[in-house]
Order: sequence, then structure tokens, then C-alpha cells
Amino acid sequence: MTIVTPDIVVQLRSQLMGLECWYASAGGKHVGSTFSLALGARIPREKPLENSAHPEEYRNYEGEANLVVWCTWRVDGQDAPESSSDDTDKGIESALGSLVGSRIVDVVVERPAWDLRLLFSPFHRLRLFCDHVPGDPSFDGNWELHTTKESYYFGPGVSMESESR
Amino acid sequence: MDNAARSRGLRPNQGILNMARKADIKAIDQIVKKVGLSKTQRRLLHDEITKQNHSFEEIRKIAEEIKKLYPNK
Repeated sequence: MTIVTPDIVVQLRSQLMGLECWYASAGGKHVGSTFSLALGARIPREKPLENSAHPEEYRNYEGEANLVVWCTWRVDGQDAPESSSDDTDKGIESALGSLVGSRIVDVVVERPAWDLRLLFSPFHRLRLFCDHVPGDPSFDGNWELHTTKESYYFGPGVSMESESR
Repeated sequence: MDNAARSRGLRPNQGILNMARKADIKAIDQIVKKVGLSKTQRRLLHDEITKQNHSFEEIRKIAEEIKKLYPNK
């Protein structure tokens, strides 16, 4: 595990820009409003997932980049919010599903807590609000990005780590 | 957001739902730490329990299985 410097934001931006979201994994008992997005090329998994609730494609492939979100978030549409971590399961799955097929066209990471804003074509915005802070957070992390070579872990608080895959 | 509820400006039991969600992810965090999953294994656990209806005991068993199946992750 390595502690990395803020120039990682530049790396993240270059790795995420232009990637298409092809699957949103969300919902289920005890999963809360956490979710993950598969982005970019399909990369074969070392072993298929056993979870039959996912489509075959996701059981056998992950994205070239994979976003995993444990913190508070909101999806905005063109003129209004579409859903958030405060929403019902149905609303969450619908809004995240609306990101599938669209591409990331802008990436903003805000310090000190690594809040993330992704703009998807043509107009959806996904905003992550890193609300897990040191003390006694409900979860040991806010969000993660797994690429083919590296995994990045953001939070709680200002902490940020990466490791080679 | 549920369209019918949105149109009425209502979200029944939403406060209770949100408290339950925070409690849920805290419980998952505790399972991860108790079983001793790495962060990579934790991500696999999320994939394996999403869209399912597992109890916490079932989730703990899945976490232990992941630890065995992916020992070097």
C-alpha cells in the first residue's frame, strides 16, 4: 500500500475521461445506497462472480475502470436531481441505470476529502460527497477506483491510498 | 425517486430507511473487519451481495468464502 500525492487527480482524470459506463450494480438487502459502476473496456475476471443476480457479462467481466461508492451521493439530470443516496431502491436503480451507455466527459476531484464529480454525456452529473470522516465512520472508506493496473482508495477523511493490482 | 411519491411530495418512512441504510453499511464494515477481508476482497463481497436478499449471517459466510477463494487478493 502506498500513500500518494494530490497529482493523482491528474492521473484519475486521464484514466476516466471518455470511458463509457456499461453496468451499474446497486440494490439489495443490507447493501444500502452503495453501488458500483463498470466503465470502459470489458476485462475478463480472474474468476466469474457467483452472484446470479448480475448479468452474465458482469459476472465474467469487469470494467477497465470500476468505481465503487460507499458514501453519500446524488445524480443530477439536465434540470433537476434524479436520485441520491437518500432515495428509494427503485429510484436509485433507475437513476444509476440512466448512466449506462453514457460517457464521462469531465472529472473533478475536490480536496480535502476527495469529493468527486463526474459529468456524463449528454448531461448527467454524479456527485460523491465524502461523508465518512475519521472518528467512528459508518464505513472505512468513501469511494474506490479500480483500474487494470491500480486500485485507489479514498477516505475516510483526507486519507488516500493506492496499490498495484 | 419513486414517481408517484415524488408527485405527491411524499417519501414514506424515508428517515427510518436512511437510518437503516447507515446501520447496514456499518454492519457490513464490521463483517469485513471481523472476517479480515482486504479492500480488494471487500469489493468482491459487494459484488456478491448486491441485488440479493441475504441476511447478515449469510453475508458473513460469503465473506469467509471470498477470503478462501481469493487468498492473495
